[in-house]
Amino acid sequence: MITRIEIDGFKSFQDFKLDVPPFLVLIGTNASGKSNLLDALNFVATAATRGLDAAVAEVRGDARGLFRRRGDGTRVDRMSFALEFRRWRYELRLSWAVPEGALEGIVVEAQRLVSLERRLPRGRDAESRPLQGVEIGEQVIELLPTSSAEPVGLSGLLDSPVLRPKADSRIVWDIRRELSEVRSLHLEAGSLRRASEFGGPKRMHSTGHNLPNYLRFLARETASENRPLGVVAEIKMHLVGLVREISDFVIVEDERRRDVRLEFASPYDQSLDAEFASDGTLRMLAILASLHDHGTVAVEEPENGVFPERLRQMLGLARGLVSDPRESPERYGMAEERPRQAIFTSHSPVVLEVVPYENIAFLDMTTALENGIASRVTRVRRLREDGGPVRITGERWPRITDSELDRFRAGVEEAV
Amino acid sequence: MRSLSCVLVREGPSDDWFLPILLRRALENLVVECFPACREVQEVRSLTQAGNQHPTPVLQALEQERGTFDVVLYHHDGAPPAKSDPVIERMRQNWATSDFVEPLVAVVPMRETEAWLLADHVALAKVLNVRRLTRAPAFGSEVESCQRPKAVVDMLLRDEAGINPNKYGVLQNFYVSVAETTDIGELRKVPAFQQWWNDMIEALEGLGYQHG
Repeated sequence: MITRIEIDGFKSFQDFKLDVPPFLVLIGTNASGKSNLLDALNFVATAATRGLDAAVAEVRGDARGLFRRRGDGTRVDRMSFALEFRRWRYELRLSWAVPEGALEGIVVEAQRLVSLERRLPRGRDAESRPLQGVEIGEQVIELLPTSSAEPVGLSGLLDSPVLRPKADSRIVWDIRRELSEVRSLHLEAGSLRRASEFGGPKRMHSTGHNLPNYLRFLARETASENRPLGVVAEIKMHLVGLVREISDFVIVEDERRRDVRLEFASPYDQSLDAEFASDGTLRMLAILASLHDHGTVAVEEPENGVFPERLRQMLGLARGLVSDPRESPERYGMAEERPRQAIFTSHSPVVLEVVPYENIAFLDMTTALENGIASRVTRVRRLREDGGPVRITGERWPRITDSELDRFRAGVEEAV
Repeated sequence: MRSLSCVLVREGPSDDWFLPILLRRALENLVVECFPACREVQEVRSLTQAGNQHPTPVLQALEQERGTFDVVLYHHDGAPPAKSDPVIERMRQNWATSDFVEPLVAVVPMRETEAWLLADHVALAKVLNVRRLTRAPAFGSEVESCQRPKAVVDMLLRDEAGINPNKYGVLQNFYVSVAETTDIGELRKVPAFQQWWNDMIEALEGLGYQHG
């Protein structure tokens, strides 16, 4: 489970830091950096597990375009990331370079894992920078910047050999698995409607393509003798609760066509192909499926095509499905359990009604001034609790006040 | 790292289309020019709850924001001076006797805020997507002599660009576009705007921004 994200130099981020609870909704207006944050998460996770080329292909924009653009049109040449898990922090620093005898591109400058077991209190380490000095007592696992066995970009960065100490490859493996279970959903109706192929990928693509096989995989992975559909039974129940027009769905394995399809049933229609299901139904099914899987799922704008009341229910469900570290702190260590985490982005004011403020982060833009150049960068602020302070130690900006939330709820006022 | 956060008390909702954007952009220039140690200019937040600019609701609205801002920007159109001057002075006095320590800086266009929209003809032509303005209104330091700037804005949209200003969203999006495009240097030729600029420098010096 990711507990903190730090980004510098990627897209709209400059010295960006965000603590991440198991359930988090990122709200904000258009172009405030919400999607960029999901891109950053997806980029690091993919780079670490499948390599830089795959990471660039996964996110919006070309390789050079991922580096933050300054107000004068130039781009920074470095970007760094840090993802914290419960016990370890993965730090990655990349730069834009032209290596000798190679084409220009993104180059790994450094990567390492730092133990969080003996960290200083959050208030003090809030200003610490990735890849700077290591605090006394911290354990550090240095990783080769790139795999020596594979050309740069073709293997996951965490597949690189551990420089020192050698005994820590198990920890690297655990982090790699955590990152391999990070997935972003930018669902598209056309992709959601498509059938899967026999022998096709078991995971769902970020667009929702391969949903039938993904459901089949979840069923197989979690099935028991008495519960042959495993978590898919739960997914069905929730879908029926959320979409009243649907009473059931089945995963149809068609051996003659060598494909896998979904068929929905309603109280008045026993067999409704996915092609004829509503966009909202398919979106909710895809989100529900992902929420019932292990790891971290980031869902972009779940409100699209979803009636506000059902969005309310969906967010409530998601809150209940994620792992709660407060229940049993040891359960959600790195290797013992595979926790669930959900991050949503949303424009919907419904979020403010159903999600506790501690689970909401508000993104907007601010102007950073660097050597006389004004650049727009993303900032993140938490919401002020009722009657709570506006200034919190360790937080760079004041908390969001009611007036700002009112503006978010209402949008820009019309002229009178 | 020093950062600047301002809240805006404005007259009406249409001011929100223009002033927060324009003032934030102006502050970026001002800070770069005069206070290089300041590293961030935050969005100018308009306080809709401040109501009709009477000191009581203004102070109540600001009370809700206490601790979140460095400077209060108090906007009031300057025309007619016989009416606007007492309103601004009343607010200044109430602010001075309140327990707020942040400075209050008045944002007072000579007549109407719309006059400031007209200051930069290059920006206007760009926003209207025309090669040049065929019937250029007053510009630069003269825009505040324009008696009816709102009528000039309507004329620009209708006659220069063939856009009906009365259609939904046209004025709002025009105001936003001009606010994002206007050259702050051109606007500084307008005396009332330069007055705000000078007052702002004084306020920030009072807050020690020159020291970082």
